[in-house]
This record gives sequence, structure tokens and C-alpha cells, in this order.
Amino acid sequence: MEWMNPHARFYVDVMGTDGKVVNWNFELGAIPVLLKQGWRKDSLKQGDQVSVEGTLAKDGSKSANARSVVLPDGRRVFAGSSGGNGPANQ
Amino acid sequence: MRKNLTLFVVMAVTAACLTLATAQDKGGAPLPGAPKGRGPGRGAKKGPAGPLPRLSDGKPDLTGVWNGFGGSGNDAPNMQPWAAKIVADHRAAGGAEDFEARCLPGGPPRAAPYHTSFFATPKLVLMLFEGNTHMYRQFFVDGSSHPKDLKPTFYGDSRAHWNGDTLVVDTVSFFEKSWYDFAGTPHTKDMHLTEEFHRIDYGNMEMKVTIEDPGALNGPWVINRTTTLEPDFEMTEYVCNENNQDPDHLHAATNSKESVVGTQAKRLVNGVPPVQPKKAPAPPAGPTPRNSDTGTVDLSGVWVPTSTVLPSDPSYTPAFKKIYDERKANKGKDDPEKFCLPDGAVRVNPLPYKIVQRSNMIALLWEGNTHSYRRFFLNNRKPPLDIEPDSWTGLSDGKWDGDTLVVETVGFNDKSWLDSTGKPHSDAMHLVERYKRPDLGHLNVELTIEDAKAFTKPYSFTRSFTLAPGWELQEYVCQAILDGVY
Repeated sequence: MEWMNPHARFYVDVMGTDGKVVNWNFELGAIPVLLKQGWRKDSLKQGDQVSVEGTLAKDGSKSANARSVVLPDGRRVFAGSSGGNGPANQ
Repeated sequence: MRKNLTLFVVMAVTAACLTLATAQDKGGAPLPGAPKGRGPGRGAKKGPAGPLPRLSDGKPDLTGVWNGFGGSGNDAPNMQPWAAKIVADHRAAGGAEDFEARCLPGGPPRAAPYHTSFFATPKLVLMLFEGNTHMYRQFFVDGSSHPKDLKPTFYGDSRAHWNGDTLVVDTVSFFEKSWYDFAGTPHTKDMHLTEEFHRIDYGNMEMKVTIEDPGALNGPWVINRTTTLEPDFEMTEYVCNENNQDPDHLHAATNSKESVVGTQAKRLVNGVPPVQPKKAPAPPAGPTPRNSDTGTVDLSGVWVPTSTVLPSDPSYTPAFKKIYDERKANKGKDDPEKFCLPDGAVRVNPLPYKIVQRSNMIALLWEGNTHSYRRFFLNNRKPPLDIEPDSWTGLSDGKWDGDTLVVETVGFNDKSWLDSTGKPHSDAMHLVERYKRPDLGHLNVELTIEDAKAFTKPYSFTRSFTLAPGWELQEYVCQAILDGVY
């Protein structure tokens, strides 16, 4: 978790169906916006399992603007990012 | 061409360093065309009830932490064709050239989605921004006019007066390239901005913005906005350029040679050069000024530090001695100040500082470095360490001990340097400053730093400032120098 401005980020190892692990860069919103939504610096800890819904980078890289994150305790939280206005694709 | 994806994959968080971002990312700004309405930083629709607070002179006291101003969203400017074409080009490029995405000031009247704190005194009203740039504006309510021969700046020069209970702020001399709104509506150097702030009651404020620019608009552009007081939340220290991964990824979205993106080639890869300070005037003689109501010492004024290098080395633990030796061997190449990161609470820059004093809060502004501020809370508040456990300048509480202002600061990160030689500290740093004004022209600050991780014993020294009568803080935007924007 990079708890820094302008936008917080977190990095996730994702295991694909082929068994390969790929590291993803997920962008959240700005710290003040996240704080008001209940996020704290220690909301994500190394080793946590999370589910992320977001908008892919245009350049096809392993990065995305997170729209919502399901935390280890099951809470589903808004990620506060500019990607939040993207259409849902459930 | 935007793809959407839903990921429901088991993931383990790890710390790695990827440097890719979306072209949609804009440093906290909603995208052009984003849904209108109150975004996540806008706060409640209706602020807390209560009477309008007033200053000692009977004028409304605008002081408080306010949510991001929400616009009415339905007042479009009547632009001249050349200006309309630029806005259309920006929209086609997805706003990729926006200054805000590069941590450059948006420039007023742009409303960020973050908090803004008003800090009011009868002669001066400060507007302190949380983000996008953690900077400030000064509204002089002292009857003065705009100085002649102003240099164009991002925030312009603001002079204010009261019209009944409305503070009317008149601002001129804008830097032409800045983005004063999310669409990037262009403006000329002759743009004239009038902002009318009307605090209706305790928790609600209206703002009327009038932009006149005969070179770009066919008539005045009037925007009405509202905001609400945020009584239970304090502003954070928003350091936009701390982890901004956007600029390198926005190149692809624009081909404009005249854009900020085009100027990225001018970026100073070795950082900004040290500032050249002006020679400070001789400090005036006279007795220590006091607040006429409370009798407390008045620390207000524009102050110039007499020295920027600390007089001795702290007694370092072996691990921190090693960090210090490495920084010295590196000859300042990794100095945060060169890359526009904050000096923190201990290090001073040779450019002037300014103290603005209220009975419940003191603001310390600085011209150089990040052109930012610290606030000393004198109202026995509990530092909100759960929301900001590690900042560059920390969280400061003050109290008067006779004629000495004692400021205690905690909540630091370990990133700032204690001076230009690279003296390190840890995130356990605990700072106590004792501000004394022995006469009109001098300010002495005794600093004592305890740091159980970095120091083997407390580190103390005294720093002196002299008053610079007639001086005023000038705008200094480090990021614009670093990026070659001027």
C-alpha cells in the first residue's frame, strides 16, 4: 500500500487460471477523499486477500483505476478514484 | 477505447514498484464530462446550524474547515472562437494536459474536491488549501490596492473589501497558461476575477464567482457555488508530488507542442537550483508588540531566518549516522527540496516566512520550497493521529507559557531533512519549539528534538529570525520551475 498523494495505490499479486502470478498496480483516490470514506493507512496489510473492481489502463499494462474494493472483512468500499464514474461491468 | 473489467481474483498484497497508470488519472480531478453533483469530497449538502461567527470588528469570521465548493454546473462561459477550440481540443485529449495532473496549481477560481480552510483576521483573510496544491492565498482587507508592475502568478494578487456581510475579493495578474477550471478554459493575462464569499450562518457559505476576460470571453462568466463547514474533520497535509505517477503516462494522450506535456522536455532532471535570497533589511527597533485585547505577545510579521544550517550535529545512533554519512557523500543529489518535496517542520529555506495570529490558532506561511503552511492549534484539540500518522510537517499544538509560545509537534514521517546537509530523523521525532519575540524586530525559536530511534540524546538549538518591514511573501511554485513551465 502506498498511502501517498495525489492518489493512494496498492500492489497485488494475482494468480491467473494458468497458475502464473502477475503483479498489478491499483490506483485509489486521494488520501483526504479516502479518509472520509473510512479508509486508513493500515486498511490493507501485506498478505490480505482482496477483490478489486476497476477500469483498465488504456495502455494495456497491469494497472487499473480501482472503483471498489472488497476488504478482508467483507466490507465493500468505494475506492474514491476518478475511475469511479466508469460503467459497471458485473 | 476504454476497457472495463471486473476482477474477482484472490490476491495477496505485496509491495512492488510498477510505474503504470491510466491516462484517465488526473491527480484527484473529476474527468471532464464526469457526472455533476456532490462528489465524495464535497461533504454534506447542508452544513451544521448555528449563528454566524464574527470577528472583533463585527465582520463575519469565515474561519473554519470547508468542504470542496460545489458548482451549480449549469453556467457555461460564452467563449470566443479561439478559446472554444482550445476547450474542444482539451476535451478530445481527455484533459491529459491538465496542470492539476502535474501537481501544478489549478489557479482560482478552480474548486478542488478537497477541503479549504479559511483563516480570518480583520486585516487579512487566508485561504489555505488541502489540495491539489497544499498552498495558500492571501486576501488583504486593509484598504490597499493592487501593486503596480505585478508579475503574473498562478494565484494572482488579491485585495478584498466588505460589502455588508459579503467579502468581495478582487484578483488580477494571472499566469496565462494555468487551468482555472476542469475544462481548461483559456484566459489572458488581463483576466479579472471577482469572488464574493458570504457565510450565511455557522455551517453554510455561498460563493459567487465572476470572471471577466475580454480577450477570451464575450461577457462576464458568473458561477454560483456553495460549501458547507466540516466541523469534525481536519485538513490533511496533501503533498501532490509525493507519488505522482501520471506525467510520464500522459504523453500519449496529446500531441500539442504548446502544452505542459510539451514542456516536460524542459524538466530540470537534477532538480531546482537553490534559491538566491534577497538581503534582509535591518530589523526595526521597538518594544514587543502585544494583542490589545488579550495582552498576549503578537508574533505576526514577515520574518527572515538569519541562518539555514544547523549549528551542530545531533548525536546519532549508528544506523542514522550511516544515513547521514551517505547523504553527505551524495552531495545533496537526493535532496527532497530540489524535487519540490517539503522541508518539514525543522528545516528552513532562506526565503521569508510569515506568521498570522488568531487567539485560537497561529498560521506559519512560507514563501519558498512548497509555498505552504503549518498551523499551531491553541484550543487544546487532540491531534487527529488516526487520520494522519506520518506527515512531513507533523501535527502541532501550541500554548502560551507567559510570553513564550510553546509548540509541540508529533506525527512525522521520516522523509524530511533537518537541514540542507541531509541530517536525518525518524518517524518517532518529537519536536518542541519555544517562540520568543524579545523586541519588535527579532524572533528567536528554541528547538528541542527528541528522537529515540535516531538520536542518543535530545538535540537542541536556537534559530533566529529578523523582521522584514514592508516585505510580503511572493508566489513561489517549485513544481513550475522544476517542470520548466514558466
